[in-house]
Amino acid sequence: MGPLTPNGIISTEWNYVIAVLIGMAFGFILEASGFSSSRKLVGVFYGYDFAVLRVFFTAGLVAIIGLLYLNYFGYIDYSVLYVYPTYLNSAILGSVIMGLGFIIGGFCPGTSLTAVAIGKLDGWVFTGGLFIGIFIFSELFNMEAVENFYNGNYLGHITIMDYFDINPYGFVLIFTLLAVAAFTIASIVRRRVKQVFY
Amino acid sequence: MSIRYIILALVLIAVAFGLLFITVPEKSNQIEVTTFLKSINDPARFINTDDVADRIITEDPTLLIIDVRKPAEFEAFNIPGSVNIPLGDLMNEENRKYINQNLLDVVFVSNDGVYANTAWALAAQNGYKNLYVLERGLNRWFETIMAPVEPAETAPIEEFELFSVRKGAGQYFGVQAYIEAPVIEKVIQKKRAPKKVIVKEVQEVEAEGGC
Repeated sequence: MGPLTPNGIISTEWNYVIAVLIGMAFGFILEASGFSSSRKLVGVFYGYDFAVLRVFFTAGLVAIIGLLYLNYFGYIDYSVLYVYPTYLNSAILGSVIMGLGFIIGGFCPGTSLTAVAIGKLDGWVFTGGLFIGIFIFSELFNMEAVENFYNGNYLGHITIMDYFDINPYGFVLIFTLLAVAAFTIASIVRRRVKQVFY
Repeated sequence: MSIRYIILALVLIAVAFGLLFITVPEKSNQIEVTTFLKSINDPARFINTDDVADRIITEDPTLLIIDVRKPAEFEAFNIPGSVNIPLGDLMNEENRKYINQNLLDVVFVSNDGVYANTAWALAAQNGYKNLYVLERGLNRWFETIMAPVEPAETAPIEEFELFSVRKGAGQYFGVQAYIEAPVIEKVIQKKRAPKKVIVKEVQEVEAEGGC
């Protein structure tokens, strides 16, 4: 049956409409969970709030476990799913910049927009900086060296399971155990760190 | 830590643990039934004997003729350049490489087309490309290439052209002489005039003397 759009069950036009609705729902949940507060977001770095770690780790696990089960029951063809291409250089440099931006600015791109939505000034500043960064990157991209670095170490549409040729089911189980261990450690750390009110 | 989180974490572990007990679904590389039915009704999957003969004569490197009859039948008569893979062996691992490729046009051949169509269906179900069936099989091949029938005198010129092309193709494939329809000629027996026998009269020549 699924995935719904490639199999023509949802048309491309409706796909965009549904994407907007999902985006609004996502933004609402982010805001409702307090993710528009930069203090809550950076708490993961200072050890007083691990909501970000828990939420995103759990979301990833629910998605992958759900996909594997749905594939097994025949509701989704796992092999048709779009796998985002891996450019190793850009991925590494991009995640370093993203991490630095996260700890300095207190937002990631999505949460900065939820902050904008509720009218936070730091959210506005962060989003402005985001667009300045996009502009600088676009201008630099004309330089051949930057473009070559950007496209360097292209690995294609791979997943970790394909790359290391490991059984996805075992991998997901290990990943789940690691996540639960991380949650447990996070809650122990949180209890030891001084409470911060935000 | 609240009891809710512990329960949720345990549920997550249990569900992930369950993944170990589901078997990896066997990937079926067979094509969709509707696609298969569409292609089975597509007349483009047939190739006629004239086209095949033409492609053999012009030494088309993209043609692969697979004869799916039994080896004995293949020995008795075959299209030059064809490969014999009996129908039962078609899906063997070592034979699949002949049909699972994108470079050559595979033409299945059998006596009439029943085996060839079965072979086509087997291969097409596996999603292999460029598959054809020789239309009406070797019987048709024999009728058109090996022993073409001369068209009637009133037939259009195209038929005569086709006939001469087929005859030429037949010669290429080693047909020595054509079994042409016996031409009944009126035997006109001319009454020949009796030969006059000219009897030379030997004239006695008198010896001429001279000195």
